[in-house]
Amino acid sequence: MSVEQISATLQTAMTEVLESMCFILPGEPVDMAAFAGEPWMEHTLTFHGPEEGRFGIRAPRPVAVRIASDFLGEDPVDLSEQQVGEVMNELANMVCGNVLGHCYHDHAFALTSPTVMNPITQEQGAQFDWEEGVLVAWVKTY
Amino acid sequence: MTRNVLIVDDSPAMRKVIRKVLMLSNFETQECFEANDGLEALDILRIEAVDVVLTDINMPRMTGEELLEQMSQDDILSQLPVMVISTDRSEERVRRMNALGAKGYVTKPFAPETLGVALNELFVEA
Repeated sequence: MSVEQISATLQTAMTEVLESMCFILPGEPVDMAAFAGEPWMEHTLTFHGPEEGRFGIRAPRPVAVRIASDFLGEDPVDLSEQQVGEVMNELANMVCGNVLGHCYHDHAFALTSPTVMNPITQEQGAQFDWEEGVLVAWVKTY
Repeated sequence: MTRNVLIVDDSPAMRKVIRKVLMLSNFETQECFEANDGLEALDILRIEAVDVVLTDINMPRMTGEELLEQMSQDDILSQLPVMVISTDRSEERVRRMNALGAKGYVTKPFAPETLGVALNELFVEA
């Protein structure tokens, strides 16, 4: 399967994960100027199976905090940097697993533990927009 | 009837979410133990009275699949119901985990109510 075909499922996978686990629904794109000067957080993992590759997600830090808050059901001010990172890790794991599940129904994959990508990449596969933020996901095969 | 649950997942965030979902569900949980991987899970299972194990698959040191293999070789642990909670929805993986003795399989992401329903079904069937 081509990387383009796999990338085509990124949007669906992000929507399913954010709706189910964070109660975030797609909406109008946020004004990206709101995040000017904000650092971005990027978390990646590699997958191994009938297809080998790397997957990543990234978001401006305030958006990552918001996602973590919705995911854990905690007030954003109560979240530690570690907790926000852990949620981004889990988000990467779930979106990647969801993408592979859509593309390869009958093949199991092993996913490595997600790690922080620093510096962040410029990879772009699909973008999930809603009123309060943006999440970018990408996939590359070897 | 209340049950003791063991959550096995290398993601602290996911363990916290599962714990919260359990508390909000109609599945009556008495005690909730947590393990970071299969090895930690086996340590807990040897000393605590656990009624059901909820395990991820991809974890460092000992995967969920290896945990099920180890449990299946133990006279007592092989009797414990295990539910898999994983991002891996492939038929191959589900078949493999069921063959190793998993009694239920919930794919991530999941709607909060899904887990409680699946657990209650598990004990109705048992």
